[in-house]
Amino acid sequence: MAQLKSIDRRLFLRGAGTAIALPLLDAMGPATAAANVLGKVASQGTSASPPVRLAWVFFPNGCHYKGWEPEGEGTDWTPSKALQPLQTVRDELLVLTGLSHENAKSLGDGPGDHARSAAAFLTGAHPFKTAGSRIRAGVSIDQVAAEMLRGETRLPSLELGTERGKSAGNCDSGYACSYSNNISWRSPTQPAPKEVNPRLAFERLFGGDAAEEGDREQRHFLRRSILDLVAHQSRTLRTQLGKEDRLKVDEYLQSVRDVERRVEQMADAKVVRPADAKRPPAEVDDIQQHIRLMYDLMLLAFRTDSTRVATFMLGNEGSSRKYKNIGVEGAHHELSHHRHKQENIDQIEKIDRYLVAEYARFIGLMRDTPEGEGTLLDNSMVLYGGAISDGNKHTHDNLPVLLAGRGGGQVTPGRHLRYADDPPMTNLFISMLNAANLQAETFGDSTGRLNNLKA
Amino acid sequence: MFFRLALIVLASSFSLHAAEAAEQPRHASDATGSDDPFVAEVLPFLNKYCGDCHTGEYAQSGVDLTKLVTHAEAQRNPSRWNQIRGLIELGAMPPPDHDPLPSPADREAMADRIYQLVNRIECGMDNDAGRVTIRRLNAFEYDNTIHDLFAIDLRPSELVGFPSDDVGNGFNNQGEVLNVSPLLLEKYLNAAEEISNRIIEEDLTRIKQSEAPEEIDKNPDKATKLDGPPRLLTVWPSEQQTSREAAAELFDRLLPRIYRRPAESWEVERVVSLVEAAMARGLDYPQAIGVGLQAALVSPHFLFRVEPATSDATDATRTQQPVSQFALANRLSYFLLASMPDGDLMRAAADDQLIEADDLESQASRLLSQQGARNLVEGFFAQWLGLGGLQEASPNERKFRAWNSKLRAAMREETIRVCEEMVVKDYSLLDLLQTEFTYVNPRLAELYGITFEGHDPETLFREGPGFPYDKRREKTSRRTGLYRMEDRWRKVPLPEGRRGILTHASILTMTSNPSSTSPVKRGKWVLETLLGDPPPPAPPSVPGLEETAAGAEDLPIRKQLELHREDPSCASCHQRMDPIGFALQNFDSMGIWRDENDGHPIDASGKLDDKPFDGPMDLIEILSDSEEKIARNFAERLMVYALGRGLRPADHCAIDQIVQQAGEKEYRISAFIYGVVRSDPFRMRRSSIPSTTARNPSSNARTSHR
Repeated sequence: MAQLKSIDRRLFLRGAGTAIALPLLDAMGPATAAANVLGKVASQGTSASPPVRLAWVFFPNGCHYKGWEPEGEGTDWTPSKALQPLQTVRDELLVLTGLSHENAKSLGDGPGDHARSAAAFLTGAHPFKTAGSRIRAGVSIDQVAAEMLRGETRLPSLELGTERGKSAGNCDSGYACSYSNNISWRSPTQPAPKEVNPRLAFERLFGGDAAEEGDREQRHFLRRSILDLVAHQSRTLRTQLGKEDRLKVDEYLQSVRDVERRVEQMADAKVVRPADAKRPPAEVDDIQQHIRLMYDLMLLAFRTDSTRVATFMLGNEGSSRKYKNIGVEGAHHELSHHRHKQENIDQIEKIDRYLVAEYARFIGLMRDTPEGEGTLLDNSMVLYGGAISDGNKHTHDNLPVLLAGRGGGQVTPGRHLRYADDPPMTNLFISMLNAANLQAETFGDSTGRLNNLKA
Repeated sequence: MFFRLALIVLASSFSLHAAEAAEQPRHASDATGSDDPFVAEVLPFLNKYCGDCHTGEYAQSGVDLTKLVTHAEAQRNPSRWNQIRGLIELGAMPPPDHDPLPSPADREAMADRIYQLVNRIECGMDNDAGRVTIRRLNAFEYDNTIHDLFAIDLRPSELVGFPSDDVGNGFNNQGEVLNVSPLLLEKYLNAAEEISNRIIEEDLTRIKQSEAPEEIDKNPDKATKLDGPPRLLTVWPSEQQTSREAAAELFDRLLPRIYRRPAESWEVERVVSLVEAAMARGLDYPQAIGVGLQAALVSPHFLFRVEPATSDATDATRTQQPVSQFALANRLSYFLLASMPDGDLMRAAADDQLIEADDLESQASRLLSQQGARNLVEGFFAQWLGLGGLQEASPNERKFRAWNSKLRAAMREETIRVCEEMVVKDYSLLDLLQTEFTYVNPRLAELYGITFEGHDPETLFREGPGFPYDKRREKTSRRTGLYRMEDRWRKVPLPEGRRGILTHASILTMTSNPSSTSPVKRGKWVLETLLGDPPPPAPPSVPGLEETAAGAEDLPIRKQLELHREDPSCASCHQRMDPIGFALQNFDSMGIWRDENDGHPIDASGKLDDKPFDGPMDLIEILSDSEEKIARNFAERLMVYALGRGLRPADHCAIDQIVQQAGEKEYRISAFIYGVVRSDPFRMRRSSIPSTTARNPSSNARTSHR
């Protein structure tokens, strides 16, 4: 499973120099100003074109697929029940049907479809069935992109969620909880955990109050010195340890380096909190508010070019959340096994529609944010989907997938594309990376590209 | 049946295809006459009974059982082989319409053989003690350690929001699973900053107060809160010593506590240099000390439990060597307290007083009696019993009006308190099933239908602070507000019909579906958690309940499950799970007693292991007969928690001993705890050099330098 090997790590965005792009921070400012400050150079040499942002939004427990797939193809499609809320943004996105995740299937490993689905969603890898030792999935596509874009932005990537990791022993039929709790994986053995607290995510992006009060430069100096010291300690330590222990200390050291780099960039970039951004509350009870805050943070991160890669888990796979805000009293996972009872199906369709509506809201906001000569959405690709299609039966073909944005002109939205012969979802990921000018040939179980994203 | 037939036809045409397509380089049939016990004894059985479907590239469900598997390979993948063993033992595989079929005696013999081969080794004097991957402190341990270091109740993990620790082998303290990510490292930096700011602020107040005691009278609140000597700023520069010297003295004392082992002088020196650098940047002495503290709290020596090889003491002829004294002090302390070793334990380690098993036992006894069992219960019992599942439980609030997060917390607290008492008072493990007492607050008393200190709990709710004043006379079944005396907990006899942990609302709620009870989940919980004998997951080809006809109609659950069991491949497992759940059907999804459900009287009768029962009391009696199974499972789980790793075949030598010795002491909880800390896997580690190389005189790996 050496997905990374097969990927050319060379980055087309190189050559733009190392100056950190200072984004336009006063929000809805003039589009032309944005073009100047976001002036990272793409490979084509059009010096003013903004960078492409990539995001993957994950929803758990599949859907009621009969209520998902739209009728008609190409530009002539009628939204299904679940996709009704997309009416206002239908020209901004693609509906992709027929993609599959072979590696989310059992393949002889027995039950555990939820765990496998989250683990396979962005990795295209078949997770090793274990309750603890030798956890292994694959590097996820967002982390591949983040690695290629390393150094371009303050944060290589942003991982968001709304549910803390489950603390129960094993999360799904003998699979360790790492699989259900994460979609982003830094390495095949190391998930990249998500931030679920909106305030903390905000402070991570723009600094907390302490950072504003104190002498910034002083603080950065001290942090650098601390990191320097512990990096030195861990280098000495690792020589005294056996192989497995060394891997853990290497993980630590790698994280130290990542944070060091971030501290450097923070010091250089003079992060300023966007004027229109309010500090989010620390506690959120209401799920709708929580989801919206996390989407807004993603928007803010993209708008300020704090990162170009983000993932967002609307829930952990197998989530038992109750969407009381839309009048659903039952637990999501239990309802997803609707047993063909109409009352359960109605509830599941409500949830499907609701989560799509929140996505549509986010896409609307992206579209309404000017950037360069277009909008932020024009320079983005925001995927929405999961690796379970029919939640009742745990199928992994015909996955529900939406892709919003024009990817800097490489995607022609407004269409329903139907694929035959179950191409792997990872083919789409390759095409997404390519559209963002990141070179990739194969990834996970990919067999090629989806060539018709651009009409 | 048609479905299965179709599959078999498909499978056989596939296997034909497979035979043409590819050569199987390592096929079991090539290796007959091998002296590998797995190859010689198990593979022929699998070839005979499973080979029709499970062979080659297109094997049924991708499970190829005819590939050559050696004994060593099978031992490396115990979960797979135990699953296969379970399916054979229960008669789920090969399917009942397969020809030939093994006799029940053959099944049993083979299942037992696979069990022995996969899970056990021959026990000797020098068993492999295994290797624990270096363990990062989890959030619980981190918070406890900070608390014990500075006597400060800060809970940094919540304050700065550590990402949740991943869980492996059922516990969140497993070395292999605990990762460090950049996000977590940032959190460690933030936590260190918060901790140091807070302590310095408090210390400065403490010092001010002690210098000007008259201030205390003006502000008595603060004075009582910040009593005592400073926690961090214990040494100050003076005319006699420079700030550098003061910092050196301070960290010379502090660093060994933070690293939980003696600190080398150069380690202290580096931190002092950092303090100096901070002062050179204009920070005052306390703040600069704070920077040094932050570095120590982000250091791998604080965040990880490092267990260095005890190089000199290695007896190269053995496969195991003792864990160093300080590493052992840490193992003991984090096992029992989920926190750093205390002063006595550190001194014992420094004086080599943790060498004998008796030393460890007396330290363990001391720690538990001095510090109580709360952290052991929160760390071990809560995870063993799966109380985390309560967080996921979500009874339908329309049906279960009293359900809310306060009730959830109360249910958890009840079970925690009962376990705590069991450890502190050293009950027998089997009392877990049999205790006739429990702990309740008014909320839980109402759920159980008992009075609280002579009061009707409902009245306590109406008198409570949360009850809306204007509705005080109205009837409402919601319990969102607080009861009067909400936080008071009382030990009470369990009401009639309840006994032991199986009748706790916590366990009953988390094994239910939101709107209905689930006999299957309750049965599975008992088999898995209590008996350590989880039913194997349904084979992939077996449809779940919701996909069979049984699930489609609105039948009572007992009827649905009866239909489900008509399918022989379902029956094998459900025969064991379902009856346990039926016996508990008198408890609804929140654990409230009921005599009928939807107008039907509850039928809580059935048969388990050929023993008839009617109701929960009978079930508890039947289960209590499996004392050895319960004890073994408990010992295994305790060992996994204590070691921070999954068990390996060699560990069963120690487990056997623990169970046997605990049995001689009526299975007292202390006997298990002492058994674990006395065991080889706890006190030893695998030698750095494999014994075979070590014995080779020409190998001088130890002296040669890179």
